[in-house]
Amino acid sequence: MSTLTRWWGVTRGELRSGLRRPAYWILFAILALMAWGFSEGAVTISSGDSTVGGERSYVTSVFAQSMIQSILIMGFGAWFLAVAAGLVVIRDLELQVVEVFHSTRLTPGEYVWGKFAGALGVFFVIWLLYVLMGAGFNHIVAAGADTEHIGPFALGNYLYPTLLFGLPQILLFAGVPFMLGTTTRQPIIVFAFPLVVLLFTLGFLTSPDFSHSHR
Amino acid sequence: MLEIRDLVKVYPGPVAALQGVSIDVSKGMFGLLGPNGAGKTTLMRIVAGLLEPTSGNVLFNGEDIVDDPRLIRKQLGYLPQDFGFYPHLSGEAMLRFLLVLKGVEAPQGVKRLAAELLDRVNLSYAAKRKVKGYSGGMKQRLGIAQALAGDPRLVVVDEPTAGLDPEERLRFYRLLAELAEDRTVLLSTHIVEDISVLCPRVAIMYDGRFVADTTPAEARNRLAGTIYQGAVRKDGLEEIYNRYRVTQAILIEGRNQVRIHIPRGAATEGGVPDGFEPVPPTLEDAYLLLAQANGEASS
Repeated sequence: MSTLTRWWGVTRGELRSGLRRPAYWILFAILALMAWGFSEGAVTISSGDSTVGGERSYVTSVFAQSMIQSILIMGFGAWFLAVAAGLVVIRDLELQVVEVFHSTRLTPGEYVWGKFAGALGVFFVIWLLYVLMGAGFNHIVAAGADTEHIGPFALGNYLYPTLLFGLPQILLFAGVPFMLGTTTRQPIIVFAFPLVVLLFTLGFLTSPDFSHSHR
Repeated sequence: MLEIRDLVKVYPGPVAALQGVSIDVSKGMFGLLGPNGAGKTTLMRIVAGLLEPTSGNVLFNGEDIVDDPRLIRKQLGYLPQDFGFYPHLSGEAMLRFLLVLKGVEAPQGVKRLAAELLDRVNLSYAAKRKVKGYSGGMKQRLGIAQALAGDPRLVVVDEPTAGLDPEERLRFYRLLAELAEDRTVLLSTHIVEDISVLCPRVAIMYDGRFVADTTPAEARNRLAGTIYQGAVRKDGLEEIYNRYRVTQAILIEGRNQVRIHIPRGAATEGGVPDGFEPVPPTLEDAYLLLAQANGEASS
C-alpha cells in the first residue's frame, strides 16, 4: 500500500461524503437557475457604463463568461466553499475519527491533502456541471424568443474562462478557508473569510460618487 | 517486548501527566489500572506513537517509537478511549476505509477481510447498517475490529469495556485473551474487574507514577487475613470510617455492607468490630487501599 493509495482513500471518502451534503445540492440548484436565467436573459450582470462600452457582448463570449464565472464564485461559491473546504478537518475532529486515523500508516500530509482534494473535487464537479448546463441552455435549449444575446457556440468561450478564472478562484476560495480551518480549528474564522471577500468585492465593484457631497 | 524508560510528559500549564515512568512488558496481557487522571491515556498515546513525551524512551522489539513513531504503526492495533466513525458510512464501509489506511495486506481482498473481522466481533448482522444507527457497544466492537486488523504485534486498548453490556464485555474478554496468546496487549482501565479477569500482570498508576507492579494473585495474597466484612447500621457508618480503612460500603436493604482493612496484629488486639468476619481479599481491595494511601501521601 502506497502513499497514493492512502491519499486516494481519504480523497474518495471526502468526495463521497461531500456529494451527500445538502449544501452542495442547494448550490447546484442555485447555479442551475442562474445558468437558465442567463440563457433566458432574465439574469444580467452589469459590466460598466454601456454608453462607453458600445454594443453589448454575447452572454456566450469569453468576456461575459469570465465575468459570470468570477462573480458567481465570489458571490455564491465563496460561502459554500468556506463550508465545504474550511470545515472538513474540523468536522473530523468533532466526530473523533482523527485519533484512529493517526494510529494507522496515514501520514498527516496524506490526510490533509486527501481531505483538501476531496472537498475541492466535489466543487470542481459541480462547477463543471454548471458550465456544461450553461452551454446546454445557451446552445441546445436556446430558451426564449429573444436570443440575440446568445452567440455561436465555441468551446473556447467556456473552456478558457473556466480554466483561467473559474478553477483558480475555486482553488483560492477553497484553499484559504481550508488552511484557516485546519490551522485554527475555529469555524468562526472560516466563516469570516467569505464575508471579507464579499466586502472586498463590493468595495471594488461599486464606485461611490462623492462629488455630490461637496456641492 | 515493550520497554518504557523514564517517561515524562508535561503538558502546558504545567501539568505533569507522567513523572518518570519505567516498565518492561513482555508478551501477553498487561493491565494498567488507575483512577481517572492518573496518566494512563497519556501513556497509551505515547506508546501508540500519537503523543511525543517530554523526555524518555519507548522501545518495541528494540525499535524506538519516540524517535520514529512510524515504526510502530505497522505493528499496532489501537483502540482509543474516545473515538468515532463517519456516521453516514456503513460499518463495513468504515472498516474497509480503515483497512486501506492501515495498509493491511489482504490476499483475498479487503472486503473479505472486513467481513471476517466483523464476524469476529459479532457485527456481521449489522455490516450494511449505517454507523449512526449503531449502539455504543456496537461502535466499540467496530473499534475493536479495526484494532485487530493486520495481525498487530502490539495491541493498545484504552478503557475498552466502557459502554459494553455484560454479554459484550465477556465476548470482548475472550477476544482480548485470544489476542494476548502470542502478542503484547496493553489494557488500560479503571474497572478492576477487567484486570482481575484478564491480566496476569498489572501496574497501578497514580498521579503520573507507577505505585505497584504486581500480579492480581500477589496483590490479593498481600492482603490475606486483613480484610473483614460486616453489616453496619446507617448511624454507625461514620465511626467505621473514622476508625478503619474502608474499601467498600454498599447500601443493601437499608444496611451498609462494609469491607474494611485491619493490618495484621491490630486484629488480635481486639480491633475487629462486632459482627465483622475475615473474608478473602479482592483486587479491588488492594487497588482501593493503594489509591487511598497514595491520595493521602500526595495531599
